[in-house]
Order: sequence, then C-alpha cells, then structure tokens
Amino acid sequence: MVEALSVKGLKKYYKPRGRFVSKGSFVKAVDGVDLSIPEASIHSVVGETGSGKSTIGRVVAGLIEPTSGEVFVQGTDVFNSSKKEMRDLRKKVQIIFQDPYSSLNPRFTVMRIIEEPLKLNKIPFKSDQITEILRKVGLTPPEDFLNRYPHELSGGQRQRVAIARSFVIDPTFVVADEPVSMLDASMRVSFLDLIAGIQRERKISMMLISHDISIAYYLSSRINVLYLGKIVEAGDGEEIVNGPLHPYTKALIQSVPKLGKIEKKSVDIKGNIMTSSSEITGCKFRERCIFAIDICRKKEPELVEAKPNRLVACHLY
Amino acid sequence: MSDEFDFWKEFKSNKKGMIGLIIVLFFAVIAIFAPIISPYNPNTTNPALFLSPPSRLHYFGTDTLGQDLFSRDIYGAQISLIVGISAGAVAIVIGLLAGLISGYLGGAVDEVIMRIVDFFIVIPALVFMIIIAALLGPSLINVIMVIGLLSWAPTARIIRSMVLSIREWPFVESAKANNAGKIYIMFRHIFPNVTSVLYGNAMLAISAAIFTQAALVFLGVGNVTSISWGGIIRDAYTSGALTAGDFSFILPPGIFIFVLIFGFIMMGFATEEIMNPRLRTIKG
Repeated sequence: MVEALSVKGLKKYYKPRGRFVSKGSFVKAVDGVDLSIPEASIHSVVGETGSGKSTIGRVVAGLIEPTSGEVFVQGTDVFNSSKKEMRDLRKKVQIIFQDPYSSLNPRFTVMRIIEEPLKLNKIPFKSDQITEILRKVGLTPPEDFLNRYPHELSGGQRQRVAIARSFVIDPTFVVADEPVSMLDASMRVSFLDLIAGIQRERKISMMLISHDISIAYYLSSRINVLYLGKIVEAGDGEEIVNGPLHPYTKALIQSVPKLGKIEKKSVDIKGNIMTSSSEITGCKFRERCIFAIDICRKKEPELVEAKPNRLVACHLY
Repeated sequence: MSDEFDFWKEFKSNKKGMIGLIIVLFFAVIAIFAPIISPYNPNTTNPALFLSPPSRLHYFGTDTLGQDLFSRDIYGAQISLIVGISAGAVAIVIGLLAGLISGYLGGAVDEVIMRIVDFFIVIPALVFMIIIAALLGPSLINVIMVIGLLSWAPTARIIRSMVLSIREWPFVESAKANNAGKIYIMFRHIFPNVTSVLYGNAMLAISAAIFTQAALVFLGVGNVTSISWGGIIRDAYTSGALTAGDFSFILPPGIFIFVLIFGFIMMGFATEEIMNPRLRTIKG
C-alpha cells in the first residue's frame, strides 16, 4: 500500500544573513528527519518553538524546498515531479494554518475565501457546496457569513472559515500546523473533535503539528517528538504519554498543566532552546538535560529502536 | 463594499480631508465651467489694453497683449488639473506595477527595478524633464508622460516594502498551496492590501505633478501657447511685472497653484490618517 506521507532524510538548512557570520555555518532547521504516515491516520510532530516542526509542514506541503531528502505524498515525489503531477497533488493536499488572523485575506469575503481553492484548482462546484461546508464547520446559518469580511468575525469563527477552506476541495492529505494554538482553551476540544470528525468521515490522512503534547495525544495515533530539527522520540501516542523515554519528552509531558493536584515536578529542563548551528557537538539536548553523562558531550545519539515500534535518540537507552 | 462606505464616513468627519476636497472641487468646477465663468475670451488680444491695472472690467488687469488676466487665470485651472491628475495617474500605475513585481518576484528582477528606482530618485528630475520634454516636443501628452515617467519611483519603493511583508502572510501561502499563479497572487491577494497606501500616495503625486508642470512651463518647456498658471507667471516675469509691482498679474496664478496643491496634500494626509489605523488592525 502507498503511504500517505513518506519523508526520508529531510534536511533544511538556512544560511544566516549578515556580514559577521563565519562561512559554512548554517542554521539547521530540520536535520535529517524520517517520517511515514499511513493512509487515513493522524500522526503528529511535537516540539517547542524553533524545533523545526513548522518547517517540516511547509516542506511537506511543497511550499519551501528542502536542502536534501525525499518527500513523497501519496506516492508523488513533491520535489521531483512534473508540473502536471504537482498541480494534481496540490488538489489533494491542504494546510490549516495556526493564525486565523493572517491566514485569511482581510479583503476577501468568507464566500471568496472558501471558493478560492475550488476556483484555483478548476474544480466545478455549486453554491450549495459552500453553504454545506460552512454548516459542517459550525458556522450556521451559513447565509449570515457568506458576505462577511474576516474582521467582522471572531477568532474562533475565522479559524472555522480556515478549516472550511481546507476541507472544501476534499483533500486526501492535510497538514494541520498548530490548528488550535491561537484559540481560547475552552474551544480547543470542540475544534479538535471537528477536525477529527471530518478526518474519520472522509478517511483523510493528516500530519498534526503542535507544541502541546496533550493535543497531539488527543488527536493522533503516533507522536514524533522533535528537538532542534531531529526526532528524539517516536512511538504510539498512548505509550509515549504513559512511559516517555527521552528526558525531553518527559519534560514536555510534565509541562502539561494538570487540574486538581499540584505535584512536584520530577523532571525539569534548564534554559532555552539552543540555536541549531553546526558548531554543537554531541547530543544537542545535553545542556538542558539533568541526566546528561560524559558520552553526551562527545557523541550524538542515534535514533534507535528501544522497544518494539518505539524509537528514541538518547544514550540512556 | 463595506470598506468603501466606512472610508467615506470617516473622511466626512476628517477636517483636513474635507477642506482639501472642497478646494479641489472648487477648482474642478472652475475648470469645467471656465467658458461660462470667465468674462472674456482668454485669447482675445487688445493692444489698447497693454498691461492695464485691475479695474471693474478686468478684475486682475491685462497682460502685455491686452488679454484679460482673470479669464486666463480661470482657464489655467484646466491644464493644471488635467496634467496633475493624468501625470499622477501615470506615476501611480507605473509605481504600483513596479513595486508589485519587484517585491513579489524578488531576486534579479527586484535588483534591476530597484536600481532603476534609485536612478530616478537620485537624478535631479526637473533638469531631466527639461531635456526630455525639449527633445520630445511640447504637446500636452508629452508633458504628462514626462512628468509621470519621472515621478513613479517613490511609489514603487513604498509599494515594494509593503509587498515584501504581505507576501509572507499565510493567506498567500494558502493560495500557493492551491496552485495559484504569480499574477493571481500579485493582483488578487496583494494588490487589494496595498490600495490603502496608494490613495494617499496618489494625492501627493498629483500635487507634485501640478507643481512640476507649472515649473516646466515657467522655464519655457512644454506647450507655452496654451493657457496655464505657470505660463502666466512666466509672462509676468518676462514683462517685469514683479519689479513694476504689478501684483495682480503675478500673484493670482501663484496663489492658485499653492491652494490647489494644498488641497490635494490635505486630502492625501486625510487618506493616510484614515487608512493607517486600519492597516494596524489588518496586521493585528
């Protein structure tokens, strides 16, 4: 069976701008990532700001070119295909963006925003299709919204419009880049249910990008934890949340606020994410890791199978 | 469109804008109804009335050919408005296209267009215009084109800088992910988001063009035989009106140029004032 997404050895390096940068130094936004997502399932990429998770999403959607590596979406090579093949692929791939304020053109009406993917991809449609998708994402009655501009809508309504735009052309693969992080906490679960509902109904494959491991756990079957452009742990969502192996994953799980009791944190991390320039040797997480041992400074850990179906990149395993 | 409605509502309550609009409309009415308003044919010469002082028959007196200056000042509004608005439009259209293409395509195209912009910003435009206008000949169209072609550079720069930020917005990426072409993105997505700056800029371009046209005619470039404010000042200057203290000859066209330019600048300021908070909410 063809996988919905297959990423092999994906690298995206940025050259730092400016005069006083040493030659040959790069910011490694994504540094050798392998991913595969089977049809009709949701996998997630989790990591903090600067880990390169959004870069992966944009590469997968074909918006930016990788430095090296292969990306296949439903069997089509995203960066070595004919124009015709790419046009066909883009009809099937959609992105949901994080910020509903900048992902909608302020000069477009809701109707124009939702029609756009259909018109651009030259898919014939009837106006019922627009009202139907609006109803589906919870903007009822749809007629009230068609002629409004984004600035006349609330943040939640805007994100519903953005979701409607992504699903109106029946995509088979969706990249959801932090779809709920700009929304009020009280609305997040209903949005996740909305996305998951459409995904199950239409058997869509999805890559979820999030900084919040609880959202990844809620929505996806497999979680990939990203740190400075590398996957440090990957596995079944349930298993990762209940038994994290990598110290960074442990810290991510600790960081999820819990209601009711305040327990003492057993794992913590120090400082901020480092710049991922090429100078760092050894494990990139060692500076912040409380378990760091000697070898962490010298050798970068490989991603190994610690348990069946469970990958981790840490010298402790 | 709700946006335009909002704009007019805010413009009405903006004092600067309304003063500017009234001034511009005043001159527009004068220009359109010049044949009705002016008491004499502005081209009728009368050697008997050589430089006659202001009187009840000739409010501003007459010039060296005995032509009625009041009538000539009224007809002068026509050329100033036609050249100002047309040259302003030429400058804005070219500036907009150059800015959109340069900002959106980037790379070598951007580099080339921006070097051309630098060239037009650095050269002394008036001198350049005199040379080109002299080469092309003195027709009205030529004057409009010369002024327009030499004043688009600042607009191109402003539009480019806006495009550079707008093109990074996710709604542009969303369109790209849906097979949108470059032309589509430039004109459907980016253009509607730069119009706000364009309106204010257009007003300033028109006022600059009015001044430039007057300056060119004063310096003897362009169609010297048609009636224009710059031409009247030139006639006054050559006939020694200033030293003779013949202020009714030299002052009215000068004041008209100043007031008309002031009107357009006020409108430009008002437009920018209204558009700016909106810009901030869009970026919000």
